[in-house]
Amino acid sequence: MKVLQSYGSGIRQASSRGKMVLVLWAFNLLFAAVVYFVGRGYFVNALGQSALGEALKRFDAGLFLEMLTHNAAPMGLMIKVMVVLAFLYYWVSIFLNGGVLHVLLSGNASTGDEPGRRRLAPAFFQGVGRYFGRFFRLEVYSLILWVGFLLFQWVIWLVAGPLTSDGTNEKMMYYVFWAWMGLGLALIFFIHMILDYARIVIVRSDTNRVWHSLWEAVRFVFKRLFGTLALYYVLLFTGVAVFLVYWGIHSRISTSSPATIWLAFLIGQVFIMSRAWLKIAFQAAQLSFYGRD
Amino acid sequence: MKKIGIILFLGLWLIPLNGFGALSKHIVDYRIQVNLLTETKALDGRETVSWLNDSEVPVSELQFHLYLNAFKNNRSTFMKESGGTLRGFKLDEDNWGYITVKSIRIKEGEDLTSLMEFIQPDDGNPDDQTVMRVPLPAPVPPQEKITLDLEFESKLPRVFARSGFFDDFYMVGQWFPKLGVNQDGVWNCHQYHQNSEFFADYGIFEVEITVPKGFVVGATGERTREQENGEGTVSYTYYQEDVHDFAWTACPDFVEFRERFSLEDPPVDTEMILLVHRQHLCQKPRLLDSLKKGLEFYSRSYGPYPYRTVTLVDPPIKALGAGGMEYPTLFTTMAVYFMPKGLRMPEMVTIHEFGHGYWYGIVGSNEFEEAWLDEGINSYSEMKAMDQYFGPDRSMIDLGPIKIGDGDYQRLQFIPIFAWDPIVRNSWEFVSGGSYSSNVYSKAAVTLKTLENFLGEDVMAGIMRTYYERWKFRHPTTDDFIAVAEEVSRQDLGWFFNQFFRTTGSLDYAVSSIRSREVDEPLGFFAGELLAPKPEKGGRDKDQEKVYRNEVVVQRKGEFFFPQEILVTFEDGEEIRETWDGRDRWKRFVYQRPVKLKSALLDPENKILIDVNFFNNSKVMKPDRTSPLKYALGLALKFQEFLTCLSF
Repeated sequence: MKVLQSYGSGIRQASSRGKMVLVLWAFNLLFAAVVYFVGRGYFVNALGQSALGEALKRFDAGLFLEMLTHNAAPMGLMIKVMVVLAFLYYWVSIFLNGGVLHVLLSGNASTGDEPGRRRLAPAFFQGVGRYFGRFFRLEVYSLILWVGFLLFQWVIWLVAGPLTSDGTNEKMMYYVFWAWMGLGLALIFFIHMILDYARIVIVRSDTNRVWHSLWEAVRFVFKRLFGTLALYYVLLFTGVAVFLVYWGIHSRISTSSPATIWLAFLIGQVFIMSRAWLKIAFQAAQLSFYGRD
Repeated sequence: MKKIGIILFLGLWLIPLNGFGALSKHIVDYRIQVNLLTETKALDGRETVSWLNDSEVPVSELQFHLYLNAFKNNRSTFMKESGGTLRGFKLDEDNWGYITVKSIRIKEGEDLTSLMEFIQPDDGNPDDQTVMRVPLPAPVPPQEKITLDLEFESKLPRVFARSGFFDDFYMVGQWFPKLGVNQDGVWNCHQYHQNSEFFADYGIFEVEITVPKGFVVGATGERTREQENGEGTVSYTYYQEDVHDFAWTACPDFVEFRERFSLEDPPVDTEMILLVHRQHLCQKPRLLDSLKKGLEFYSRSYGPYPYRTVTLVDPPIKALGAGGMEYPTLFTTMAVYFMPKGLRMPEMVTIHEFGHGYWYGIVGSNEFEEAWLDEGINSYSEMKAMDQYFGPDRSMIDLGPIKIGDGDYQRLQFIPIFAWDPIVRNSWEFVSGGSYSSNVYSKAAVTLKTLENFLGEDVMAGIMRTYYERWKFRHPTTDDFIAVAEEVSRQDLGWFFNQFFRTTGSLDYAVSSIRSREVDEPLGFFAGELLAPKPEKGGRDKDQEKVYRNEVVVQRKGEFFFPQEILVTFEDGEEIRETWDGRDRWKRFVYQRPVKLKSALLDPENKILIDVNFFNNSKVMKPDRTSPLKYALGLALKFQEFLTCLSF
């Protein structure tokens, strides 16, 4: 029951925080804009005045790969730019996390039209600045969890290895491999969930004891294992459902004219917004679940 | 009666040449008995080999290939060149391989064991023991035979390069002392190299293979006898004429399927034997279907499959180093338990390796010296077969929006690294394995496809069929292929083959520039009279039609030349087709028209697949920027999706 109540609360809160969704989406778009301009320059250069530009309006994998082959060096540069951007974005998203949690916790940020309520922006960016240092430390401390994860996966591989290493049971090799990958993904989600709760602990208690908060989050998750997992996966499946709807629409658009290309891109932006909305829903639902304990 | 006498006389004269009903001249005759020793992963063999001196001069020594010695230590030529890795598969240093000739003697004659010596005709590497020379006490006169008895022991390596074992799987290739090819009194017997395969004479092979009971066995040729020995072993005898090698395989985990394949035109009747590993039985329908396609395509395109069996071997996943390899009437494919239908690797490998039954098996070119004659011609044949059965735009990969044809795949293989070596070169002299494969397989295949587009499909089909018919069961060279191509096409093709096969360089034509410039009114002094601009804007009457000087410059950027067609299009839709012999570095085409140019396109039908850059083959006046928009926005959106996962 608590899970469903928290889920409902998370969805409601995320839905009422349109501005925050826009802020998260805007940051995402800002980073992608760099990629767009770099990419556009690359493709304009690669295609030049060639008539094959016309042919590539419909995706031709052979021609596309040939284009990449002839323009490998700038492609390498573009990939480097994307790696750097992704790295920066990771830290920016941690930075923004503080704002999201701060607004959700304070619960009274508004458009400012109602007397006595603070505007969203000051509350958001106050949280951003206030918690970044602690969240940064949390990321560093979380390396222990990630190392533990890698060790665990390695041990599982060692245990499962004898079942597959002689190569005599290919079917088992296939399923063991995918089970191992599935387990790895589940563990990644699990660690993410612990870190979500650790941030909640930090923000709720406004503590500087990051290490303690991480430990507190671990304790909480294991104490409420079924509830935390159920809430996490209900939210995750909500995201999967949204993705399937998006994919179903997006894949039906034939992107061979500027109008349809822009249409597909705009639909894509709606999806990216839905991801921002879901991120807020995650935080809000988990905050609510933690608060109900 | 007289006629019958002549026929009998001719027949008797021909018997020693070919034998009764023989397809090839039998230079060698091997009778081998071999035991598989599973405990030691070794073979214990006895071989009786007869050799016919088919040259005009006496021959005073014999040369044998001892290929397994390539895996004897890390100093062999193969190991030095490959570093113990081939096609991504690595040597297991706990399981070396070698072959020891324990004795060799002339049948009922002299013992030659003490006279054996290793030689290194290619690189002088004293540690290489892959070629053995045996001086004879007396030369073998022309058209005479010599018969020898040998005893040998072969230790198989853990398979990483074609031959060897993995667990209970054995792929036994290049495993017995095998004679080189004597050409005009000189031995052609190269060492085993990283980038080379094999070369041998045609003849008869009869091999009795003894294995522990429970093993499923497949081999070159037909199984003629099967006998349980009582001590837990079974002996299988295989016999095949008109082949130049013998390979076999054994594994208790094979499931054997037999099915007949028949065609009426051309007449083919053969038994398909599939040895599918128990682990990928799910892939059997794909393998069987591909083999049928191969049999049909090659029989119809080149000539009916002449043997009574063809055996497909499907190695286990940990022995894929044995996969994708050809032997006479037997080949190994590559399949794994999970392979999406749209990834046509099993189909491509099966058709390719079966195809080697023709280009290597039946047309026995020298794989050491001119590997393109089997790999290149076979890759070209495979490309045609794959395109015919699966569609040229998706014959290799057909996964949703990602579709790649075999031709695209071959182009992508050779474009980045082909220019280091020519196609025709000794296999071990290529700068790298990558250069060898991109030239010998892909560039050769794409070049032949370009030749087909140049000469016409029918003419090329005639060339291939004539080449096959004329050189089957013989040893052709590049010159022989060129001679057939020139004869059938009735053209001098020296310019083509000399450039593309014998030299390095590239073929790259480009539309260098297109320009439309308004032709100005005459201004200045003409015949002593000053012509001044007219008052109207632009110096021209309003209702006078504008005229443009339209200019197209095409350029030969690469070293090679090839006749070119250029399609020039104007804004009003008018099209002009130009031709250019392509020999100069550039050529300009000028048109005075009341309209501007729209585009210029070299090779409009996309016939010249050997051109290394398709993207500079055209220029349009106003390039459509839809594609950059599409891919840049698509990339940005994918990046956004990725970022949302990062921050999840």
